[in-house]
Amino acid sequence: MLQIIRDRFTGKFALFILALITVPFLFFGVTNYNFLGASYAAKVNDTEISTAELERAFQNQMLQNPQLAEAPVQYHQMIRQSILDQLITQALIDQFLAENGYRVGNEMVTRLVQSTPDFQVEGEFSREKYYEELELRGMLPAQFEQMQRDRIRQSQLQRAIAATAFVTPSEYRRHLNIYGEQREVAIATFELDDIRESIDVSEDEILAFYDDNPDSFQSEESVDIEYIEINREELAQNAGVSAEELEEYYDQVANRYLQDEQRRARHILITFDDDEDAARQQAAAITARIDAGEPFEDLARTYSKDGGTAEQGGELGTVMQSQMPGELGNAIFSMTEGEVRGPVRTEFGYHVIRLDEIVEGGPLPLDRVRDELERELRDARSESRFRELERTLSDALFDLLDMNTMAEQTGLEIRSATNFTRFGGEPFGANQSVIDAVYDQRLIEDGQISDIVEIDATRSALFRVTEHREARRRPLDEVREEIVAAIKSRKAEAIVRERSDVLQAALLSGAEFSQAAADANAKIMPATVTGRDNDDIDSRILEAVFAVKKPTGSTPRVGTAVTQTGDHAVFVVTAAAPGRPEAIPLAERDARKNDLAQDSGIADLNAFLFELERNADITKSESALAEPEF
Amino acid sequence: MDDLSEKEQLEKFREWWGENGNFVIAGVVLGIAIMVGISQWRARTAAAQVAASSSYEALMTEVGNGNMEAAEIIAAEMYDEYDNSIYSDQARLAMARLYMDKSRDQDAADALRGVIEDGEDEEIARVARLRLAKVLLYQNKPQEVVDLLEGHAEGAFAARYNETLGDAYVALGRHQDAAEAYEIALSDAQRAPTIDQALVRWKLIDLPDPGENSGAPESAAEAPATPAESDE
Repeated sequence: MLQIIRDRFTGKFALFILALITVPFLFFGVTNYNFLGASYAAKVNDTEISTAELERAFQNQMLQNPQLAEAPVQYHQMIRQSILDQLITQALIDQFLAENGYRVGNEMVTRLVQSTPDFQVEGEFSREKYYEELELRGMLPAQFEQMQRDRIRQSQLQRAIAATAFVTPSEYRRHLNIYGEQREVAIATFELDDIRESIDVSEDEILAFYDDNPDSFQSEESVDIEYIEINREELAQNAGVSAEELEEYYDQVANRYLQDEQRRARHILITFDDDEDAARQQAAAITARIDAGEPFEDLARTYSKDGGTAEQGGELGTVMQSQMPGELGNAIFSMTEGEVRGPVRTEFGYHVIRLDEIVEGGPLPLDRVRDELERELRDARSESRFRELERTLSDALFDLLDMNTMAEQTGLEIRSATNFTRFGGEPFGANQSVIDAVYDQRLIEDGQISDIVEIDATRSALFRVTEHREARRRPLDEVREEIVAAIKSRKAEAIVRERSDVLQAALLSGAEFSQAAADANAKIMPATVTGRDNDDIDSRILEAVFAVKKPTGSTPRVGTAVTQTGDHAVFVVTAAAPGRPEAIPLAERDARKNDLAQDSGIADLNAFLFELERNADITKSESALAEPEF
Repeated sequence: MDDLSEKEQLEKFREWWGENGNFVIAGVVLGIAIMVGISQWRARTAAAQVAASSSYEALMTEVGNGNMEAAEIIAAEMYDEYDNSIYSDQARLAMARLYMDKSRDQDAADALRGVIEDGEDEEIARVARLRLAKVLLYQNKPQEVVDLLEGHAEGAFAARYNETLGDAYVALGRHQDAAEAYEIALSDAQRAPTIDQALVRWKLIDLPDPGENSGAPESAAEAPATPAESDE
């Protein structure tokens, strides 16, 4: 046999092999060939996450989460990084699912789709509603169902791990023992504030402190400025618009507010139901009763089948003909004021109609549009005034006039601001255009006036520097108070530390707590039983109380802590008792146990995912995280 | 080619076909047969996977309702018919939870052991191993926990394994080993949050002072270091 194969391999056998491999090739083709080369953001085993995919996920996140969209550009790389990590986890899960033969049958997808409230009408699945909803989402049913299939598949894995964890009774008891532990503790506190009061600081100390810290007490470079500002908002507010001008303007533009004629009417509707003739006769009878003097409104309430208007005595409201097309509208707009007409046949049934009022068409009255027109006039005026002022100022700049003259010519006031640093200052904030304009050689050294600076969309201004202060060391007198405070804190801290050390040593050598603490002038909290949560004890101290070992026998545990505000504490723990499950109400006990099991399951799932990641071959492309250039 | 007339070409082809035709036909036929075979095999596998998947969903419903009788029937069927499917492993994990809820810890242990011993997937088996350890600890068999976990506390499960290992050492009175296991769990959890770190820290504090095992009174007075003291 082997002999035959070897002999024929060059000729007939080669053909046989070729035919053999051509068949599947013809059917399946060469798929997924990437002619553009490797442009991936990450490679997870054999799966590539393309840069386009990453970009799409990134943009989606930005759309869905406005807070992210507001994040400065330098954070984008970080956001991309975390999105890429999510995509990688996703890919890992997908691979795991595919490799291990996870599969979801059609009937499961169908069940999920049919039980989705969005696709239901009155609690029943509706095919029409389903297609409608999908169209709104721009999705084909096949696409949507594939998505659901993937979702169920993933949830099978997640539930398999996260929802099946349990907490054994002994594990739960230990958890409660620890979380619910109670300790008896007495605390001695030395407060910085108490001691700071009593400290004297000599002039020599202040001087020494000032000399020993040559880099401290620096002030920033700053300028005082004068400026003339043109402000569109202010100009608009100040632009006077007289009543005559407004009327004149209204006459010019009144055609913008043309309204069609409107009519107010009532009706009574008698629907055809099964017998059209009977409906017509009933409507005719009602018309006759109205003609005979019965109130239209009462009859409407009693007989009208138009649920929306019957309650209101048949009131249809004030409408234009365009709002009410068809027979009903035709009838209403062919009647005279006060007329009653019926029966009028329309697609809804037979109507009895009364026309109550005709509101003539024409432009809306001035009062209805006054605010809008006034705003327009003001804006137009302020805009031209703005340009005019700008022109006057630039002419004045060209003529090298001084600021007072400019102010006189324009009628604008000179304003001033002080302590404007290179980081900005009131009233311009950190506006970079203002900072750049003000910190200019010509202004600072030559005392010139700046060009007109556009501050933002509504404001422009020109500036002059009246005072320039270099960065410098603030003189001793200016910082004396700060120094005194710093020295006091430093000394108080040393005293507090020393006292706390002395008390701790005394307690360790067996001194009785309340006596020793009183001797040390500490503030004393007598022995108290506390759990891990207690708002009456400083959180740092409480943490330290539970960080010492449990006391053994009659020997208390001694510990120390420093609070967030710098106070020192020395404490003795005299007893510790484990938390008792019995202390928790029975119903709550089960709920807590379930919560714990759930936490444990989620932790298992996390570990599982980390493990998948650890075992995978993952390459990330750094360049894919940068902002793409378009 | 131009110098060969159509007739000659046809003649040449006939000759060639007479010699090689059988091989070409045999190749095509075998190729098609293999394709059909593969696609049939795939369809059958897929059908089995779908069926296992559906059974699993049904099982999860029963487990969710705490319905032991029905769950056991479905699970037994799954172990029997889809023994080589990952769904069987998942069924065992779910049954273990149900057994624990019904205080049948030995049955839970057996189910979990099934995943570890002939499970389809290594990672799922890791989850099962940890859970079996917890059951054994509850059954007061700490030495078996140590045997089960030692040497396996690695990778992403290291922190979780070490916490349970520490618990087992505590039960055995091996406090030094327990402290070490908890320390490893804590340092490992820095990389990936898979444990309740506060709880493990407190378990560590809860261990008796090593110096005190001998009962020496002067070491009991030793001031324990507190985190607040190291602020300089």
